[in-house]
Amino acid sequence: MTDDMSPLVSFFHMGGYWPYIWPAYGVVAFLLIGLLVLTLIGLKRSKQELEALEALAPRRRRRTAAPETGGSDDAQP
Amino acid sequence: MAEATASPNPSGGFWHRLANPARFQRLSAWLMPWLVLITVGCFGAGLYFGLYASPIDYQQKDTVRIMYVHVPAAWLAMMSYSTLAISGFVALIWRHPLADVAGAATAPIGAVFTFLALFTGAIWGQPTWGTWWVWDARLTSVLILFFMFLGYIAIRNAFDDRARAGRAASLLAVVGIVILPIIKFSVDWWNTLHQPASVSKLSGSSLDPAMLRPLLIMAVAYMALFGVLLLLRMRLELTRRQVEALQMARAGASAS
Repeated sequence: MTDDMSPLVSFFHMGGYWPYIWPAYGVVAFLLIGLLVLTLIGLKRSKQELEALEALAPRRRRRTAAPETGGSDDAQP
Repeated sequence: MAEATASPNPSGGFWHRLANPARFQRLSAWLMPWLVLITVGCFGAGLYFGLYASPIDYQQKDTVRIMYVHVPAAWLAMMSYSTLAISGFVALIWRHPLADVAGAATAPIGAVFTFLALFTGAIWGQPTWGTWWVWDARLTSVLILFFMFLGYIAIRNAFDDRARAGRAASLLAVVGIVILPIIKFSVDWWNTLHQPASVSKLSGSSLDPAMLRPLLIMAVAYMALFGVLLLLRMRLELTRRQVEALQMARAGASAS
């Protein structure tokens, strides 16, 4: 590290090891955030799908389907 | 815990009550904000200490900072596999529906953490060992762990019958538990380039407290994120199964 480096530059420079440190942290951030975002998108889509199906199905049929799927309705007859 | 009269399961008990997806949804809704808080807080503190407020190693210089993302990833890879194996065991023995859901939800998370352990390890290996990869016991056994997660996911998708797929995948997960002690002790049993344990050993940690701090904070952050991802993916899996059952019910109704 040379003296003329500003604190910010020397932080990103990482003692010359920036080509290793930043990609390592970058891949971790990319994959972990990516998995989180994909999970949230999937959850939103499947919930919409479920709501659409529940709107189509009569109430009685939804009840009969509930035990098998372990539906969200707690009070089962 | 007191026996609930409303419990749909005759055998009752805490675990069976937890098996009820509605109760799971409530528990996970209560747990979620805390896990998110811990995740955000610990990642913030962990990155601050890991990248800035910690000393450099006298041999490794700044590359020691890769440890703070590499080591917790490896720990979480093994924790994910333990979760997978325990879920598989419970799903096989007690036919616990939520255990099967938990297994299906864990596998992709475990695959990501294992990949991160391998990838950040390779990036760390280049400046410290002079090579990205060696076929030594520790690296090879973790690579096998990665393929086991992929194999588990592949088996789940290979059968049309969800119950059969679940049983086959669970069996793989339970039998594959032997990989965990192999990974853990690979650095002691074989001569390897990978360094032996320095945090969890009988004589106490040999790591400097200034380096142990960011490492442990990042480990807590990873664990909390694992919890967040697991709960979200379990909700996703449950919703998917409900959608599937409704579609089948509709198909059956229109056929008759």
